[in-house]
Amino acid sequence: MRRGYYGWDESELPLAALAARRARLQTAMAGARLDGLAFYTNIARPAAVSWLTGFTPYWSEGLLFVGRVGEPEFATALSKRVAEWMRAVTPVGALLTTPKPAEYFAKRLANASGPRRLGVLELDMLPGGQAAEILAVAPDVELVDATDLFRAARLQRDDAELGLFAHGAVIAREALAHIDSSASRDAFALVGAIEKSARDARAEDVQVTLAPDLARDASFMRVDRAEAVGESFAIRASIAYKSTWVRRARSVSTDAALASRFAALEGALDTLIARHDPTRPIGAQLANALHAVPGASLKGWTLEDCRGSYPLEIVAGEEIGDATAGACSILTVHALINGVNWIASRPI
Amino acid sequence: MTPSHAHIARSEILREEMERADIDALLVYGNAWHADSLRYATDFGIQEGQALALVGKDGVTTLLLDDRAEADRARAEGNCEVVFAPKLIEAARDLLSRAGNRRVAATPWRLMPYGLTRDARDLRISDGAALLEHLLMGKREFELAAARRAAALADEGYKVFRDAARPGRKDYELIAEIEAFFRAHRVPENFMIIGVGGVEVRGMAPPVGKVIKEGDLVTTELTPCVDGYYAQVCRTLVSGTPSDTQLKSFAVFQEALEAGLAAVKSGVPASAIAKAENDVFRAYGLGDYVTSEYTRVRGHGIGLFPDQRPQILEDVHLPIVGDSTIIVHPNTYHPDAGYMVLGDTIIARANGHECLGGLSRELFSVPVRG
Repeated sequence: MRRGYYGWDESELPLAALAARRARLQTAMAGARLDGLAFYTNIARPAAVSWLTGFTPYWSEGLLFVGRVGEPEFATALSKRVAEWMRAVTPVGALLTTPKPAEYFAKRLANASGPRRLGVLELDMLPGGQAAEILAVAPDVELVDATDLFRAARLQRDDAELGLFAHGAVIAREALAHIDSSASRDAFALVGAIEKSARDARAEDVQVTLAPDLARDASFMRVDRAEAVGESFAIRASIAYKSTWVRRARSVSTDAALASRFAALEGALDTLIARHDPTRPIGAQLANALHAVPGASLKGWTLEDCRGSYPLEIVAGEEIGDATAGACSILTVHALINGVNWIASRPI
Repeated sequence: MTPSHAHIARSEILREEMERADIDALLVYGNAWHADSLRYATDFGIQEGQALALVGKDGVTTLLLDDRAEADRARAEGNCEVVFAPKLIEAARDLLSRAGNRRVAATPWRLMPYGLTRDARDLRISDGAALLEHLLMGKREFELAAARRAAALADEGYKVFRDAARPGRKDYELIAEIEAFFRAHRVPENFMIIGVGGVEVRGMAPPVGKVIKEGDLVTTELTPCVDGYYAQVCRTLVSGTPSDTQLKSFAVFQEALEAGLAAVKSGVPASAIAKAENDVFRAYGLGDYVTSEYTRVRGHGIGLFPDQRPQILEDVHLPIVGDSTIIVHPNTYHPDAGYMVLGDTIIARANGHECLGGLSRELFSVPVRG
């Protein structure tokens, strides 16, 4: 669940930005002859609803309805007693608490006159119970997948998103700086310190995982399953600030020689991020950048961004193909150096 | 990693249940919100993305994860065959098709993706809640052992919370303290909400930047997770010395909790526990404050999900299952003092209950430092 700071600040997320996002969608809806768009949300898939309203549920689930005109309406299964809190942190739209959000909107659709084509983001992923509630009440409604339509509007990054992403990146960088400032090399204490730093800086959510022994592998584990911390380990912090997610990961070694090589790799990655050509595929540039570090070999990489309901999803990588790195992306690089894994993530 | 004792035991129980129900395979869905069925079947605690797992009666389990880092983590844990499936529905349909002419129970049905349920007949899947739900409620000894450890950590965590709740501190800074404590103690997950203030506070929610001042009530529920099992503690503290009004108001909650706990034993309907709690409020003329306008539930089941069946409400007549873990909490708004909480996780037994926590049920007072 989300348990960090929630708050809406118009200087960070102006109402005009939310209105412009909605207007882009409503224009696209008209072109696609859709009568409405529905967006399901829960803590695993919050990103589309938060992009349109600024709101992420801390728990439970909800459904956002966007009509061809006007403000959105959000119905959630969160209880009535938190309605006041929701209003305080959600700047736009009507809010409603109901145990059956889909049924509420289906009744509205069933009463509407004329054609009823309802676009749904990631229709195949809509929970079957929500779909059943809609179709039970409004059996003539045609459910249409609206994923491509949404993405076309979503991929235009506005100043508000760039600002929130940049702020999240600062929180992540400062949190992971505890690796340098802490005298302790107790990995679990470090995880706690990183989490505290991010939450003190008003992160809405923080997930810190640990690759406990880079001599063995580079899989990030949760703290309860990370056994036998070796002399080289990596820490990954995934941080949400006002519903915008950023990841950052660093590899650490108590072996001085290896630490120096890790630093060289970090330097190469930071230089790439600062100087990459946004018009050329990032994978090819990455291979060149790591080539400059003696003894390093690229093992894998991914590029993530937010374009649907997931806070971050892989959009390029060695397995699925190269792509240019747009704004608000996360580049994760996995390399081998002297037979030891090195892994790092950076926001772009 | 070697599969845990809990995973081996749960896998065996599941196989027996499938045999009994004449089901060939179980399809389970999970995400970071509803991770319980997935955890039961695979022992994987999902953090990002979504997952579907097909558990065969023959013991072979295939776990599909649409997040690559999660797939890497699941592989490292080594409990089942793991597939990174960025096109999750496509991969699941393919897996089900290859399963052939088998009866597949799917759970939780309500959350099963529409891309599967709309073709349920062709895919030979049907609602499998009945197979797993009772297993999620009644606990075996290895499950109770994890719940006990979680309860002990909840108690320890509350001491950290109390120490952090000083005037001038912001609500989210208290969350930061407690989460740092839990991570350092290798607790991967914790459900918590918070309330800060006086009579204007109607409930708990995530923090919004409120600053604690002398005289404020600070409420929270901490719900750490150990080996997948949650235990919860709800407590209220006063920043400074409690007023007579606060003490008198809180006494109603203490009496209601005792009444609720006294009503617990296996076989009683959940409604009986809620009624026992609510009758105390009604006796003090506070009947309006036990309605849904002011309170969600008077307790609930807890286990691999922090808020599982049964909900403790006067209209829920589901019997309490023996050896189930539940939290009894008469949390609600008191018109004289504000929102107050008090609750403990217990095991329902044939002749009563066993309390898992050891924390005092007083209205805590945190001295204001000069």
